[in-house]
Amino acid sequence: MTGKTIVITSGKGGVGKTTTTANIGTGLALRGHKVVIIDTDIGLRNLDVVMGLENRIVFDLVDVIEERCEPSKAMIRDKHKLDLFLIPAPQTRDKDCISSEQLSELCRQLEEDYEYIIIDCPAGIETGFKNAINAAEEAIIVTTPEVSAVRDADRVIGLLDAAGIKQPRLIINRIHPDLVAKGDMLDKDDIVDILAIDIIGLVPIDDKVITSTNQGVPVVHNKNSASGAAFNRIAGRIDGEDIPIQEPQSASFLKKIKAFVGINKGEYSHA
Amino acid sequence: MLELIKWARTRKEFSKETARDRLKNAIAVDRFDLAPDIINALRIDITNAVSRYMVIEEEDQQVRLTRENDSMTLVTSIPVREVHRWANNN
Repeated sequence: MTGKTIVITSGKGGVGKTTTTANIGTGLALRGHKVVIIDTDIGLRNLDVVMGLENRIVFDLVDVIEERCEPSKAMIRDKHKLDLFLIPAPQTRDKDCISSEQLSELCRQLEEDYEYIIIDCPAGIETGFKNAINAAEEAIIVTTPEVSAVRDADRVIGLLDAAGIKQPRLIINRIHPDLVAKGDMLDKDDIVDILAIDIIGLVPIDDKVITSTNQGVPVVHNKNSASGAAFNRIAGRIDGEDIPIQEPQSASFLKKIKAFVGINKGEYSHA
Repeated sequence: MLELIKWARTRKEFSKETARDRLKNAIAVDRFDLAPDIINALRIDITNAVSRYMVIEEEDQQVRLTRENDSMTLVTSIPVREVHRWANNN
């Protein structure tokens, strides 16, 4: 098997990079693929809690890199018994304790047995970022429709280009359809025009992301939610399916009332 | 009446228009911000080219991009000691 390593990056922090990584990895696994997610945010690990695996950590990425254990020992299997594994970042080590070559070597090794290796990149453009992008052959940039996040995405596109990743693809996260409709939020066309980059998905703002993160279940399990459906489509596009880009729509009046009285609770499918 | 409609339409500028213009501006500046090692490589290339025609001072060389309104200019300052005889007009 020859897998593919994809880095999820953003430049700016707080745009939903970790949530996106968890959902893309889970979305690909739900499609029947063998997936490993690597958290490279050393000292600030978060993917474990987002995926609900925080109680199962024994070994971490640096244990693997420094050969204290086999990669398989550090790989925590997903709760839903998918072919989905997380290699967590160490919480107490220095940021510079792994090298770009070491991470690349690990990814090449994992590519022999897994179809997708998804790297969650730390925020910023320092060593951790450089290690993560050097290990990957493809990149997905996450931004939100805000001036600061889009500007940082532009910087990251330049740095990816310099590192040899020529065609990164963009996810615009936390789109408020109501604000876009009123002309008070940058829309897809504005951002594509400025960044000159291909879009791989548009994700609407969605309270379900918060409730699902509370539960440690990536929202992509809930395909009835707007954001879950969006992440599922992104996974399909990564997987080579031809799925048209859909612009998020405002919630209908009925849905708003349902949400208000709480009818939509407990609809997680866990499928 | 038509004037009134026009006024009503132009009265409120959509805030995303402001966001887009500011963003374009900021990114245009960012994209012209050359990395220090690239600036240095450019300086060496320029001084190599210039020194084929004249003897230049190694000190006080400057290469930088400046921005004025909407246009960028590459400003290079290289002190010259003398022009090579063969390149001289006499």
